[in-house]
Amino acid sequence: MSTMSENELGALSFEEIMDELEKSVSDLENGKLPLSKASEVYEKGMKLAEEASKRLSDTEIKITDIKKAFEEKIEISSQSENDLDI
Amino acid sequence: MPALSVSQVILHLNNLFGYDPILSDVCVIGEVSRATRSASGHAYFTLKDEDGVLDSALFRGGIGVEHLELGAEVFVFGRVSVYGPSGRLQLIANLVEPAGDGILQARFEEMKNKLESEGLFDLERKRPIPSFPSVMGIVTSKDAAAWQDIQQTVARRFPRVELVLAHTPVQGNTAATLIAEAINSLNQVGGIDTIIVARGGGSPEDLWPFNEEVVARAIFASATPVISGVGHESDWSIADLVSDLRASTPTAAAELAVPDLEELKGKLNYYTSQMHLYCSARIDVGRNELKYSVTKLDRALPDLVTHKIRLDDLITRANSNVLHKNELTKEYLRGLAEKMTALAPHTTIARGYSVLQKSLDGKIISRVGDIGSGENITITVSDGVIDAKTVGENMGLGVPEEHQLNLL
Repeated sequence: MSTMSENELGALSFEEIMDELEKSVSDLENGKLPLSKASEVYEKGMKLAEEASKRLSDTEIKITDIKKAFEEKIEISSQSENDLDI
Repeated sequence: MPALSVSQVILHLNNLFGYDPILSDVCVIGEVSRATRSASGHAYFTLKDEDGVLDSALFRGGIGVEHLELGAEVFVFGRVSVYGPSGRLQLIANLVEPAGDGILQARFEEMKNKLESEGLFDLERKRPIPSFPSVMGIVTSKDAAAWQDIQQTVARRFPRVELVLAHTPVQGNTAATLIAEAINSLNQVGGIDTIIVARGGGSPEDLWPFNEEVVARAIFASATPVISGVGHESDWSIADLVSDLRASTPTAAAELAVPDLEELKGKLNYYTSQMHLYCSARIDVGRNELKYSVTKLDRALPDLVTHKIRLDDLITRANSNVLHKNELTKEYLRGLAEKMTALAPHTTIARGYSVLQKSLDGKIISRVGDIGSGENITITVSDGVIDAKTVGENMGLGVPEEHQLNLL
């Protein structure tokens, strides 16, 4: 478990981020890590916490109805078909 | 066999019915499917269930005519007879009572037992509800208070979620089928994390669609976890039993579906400060470990200072020994040199003595017998050497002891 790149962080779901963060905290809490490892875990944990609060700052509730959701889905799938043609 | 008239047959039947312990005093349960009132005040209606219909009449003076509403479930007390003019079987009622609750309860129990035995309520089947949903599907009526409650609750707690409303009527005859369709549709949209099936409080009849088998099956078949929030605290529907999580109300369902943002932020802050704390504690531990190691290392080193002092001492002692010996040797040598100077031949010669040597081999002639007649000799004196030759016979002479010593 080394430090994470932006991409790796971005690929995680919020739930995964929270899980990883909780694990980092309990690893540190345990206090048995070698110092170098502890600082690595700390750095990673802080990155996770930062990413999590970044995601939480996005506070826009979006309301749509199922017809629209379906239309969007169809739009997206036809777009991706076009992408394939290119 | 004598032939009977039609009336006789009907009469006979009515006699039989009149004696029959069941048909002569019966309570029938069924749904009112048709009801008319005659000008004379009699009420004619049809009772039905899934498999049959029964013509019924409540004559003027009978009790409970007000319960004869289309679709109502009623208990009808009376007797069965054949009405001659039409030849039809008829339930002659004297009392009608609403059966609603009892019927519904019975149907509920029946449905519950059936689905339970099929494993639709099994706890092992319940799926976890995603803790942090991005998209939620809501099955309810767009006009219902439930929809408003859900939107408000989500906006208050966790406004970073998308709500997809699958609008459906939530009461009435078609509601159950449409609710089931809405659940299926949300599953087809894809990308939906959680589905909430919701309806506010109402009468048992109003809530009935959520007890229908088709709704239960749709919830069971849903690939997306379902939270039910139907009615009030005390209302348990079949939908509640099948769903992955039951909430008592639509608001409670929304609360269970999303985390609380403020709480989450607090949690993040807590985690961050805990990490600071643990990390600095770890650094302190490291520092102490380092201190301890240095001390230990210090102690493990040989005592150089003592060794150095000892070495210096040894060197000093060695030096002084050597110097002392040197001095002694010098002294001794000086003594020797003085002695030698005193004894050196040239010092003696300088005083007037001479040294005789045989020319042949350079042997010192110190006795008469050392040399014969006519032999060549050299005489060393203070300022040179004289070559000479012996003549005559040698004669011993008495030479004083001290001179002999000096020649040595």
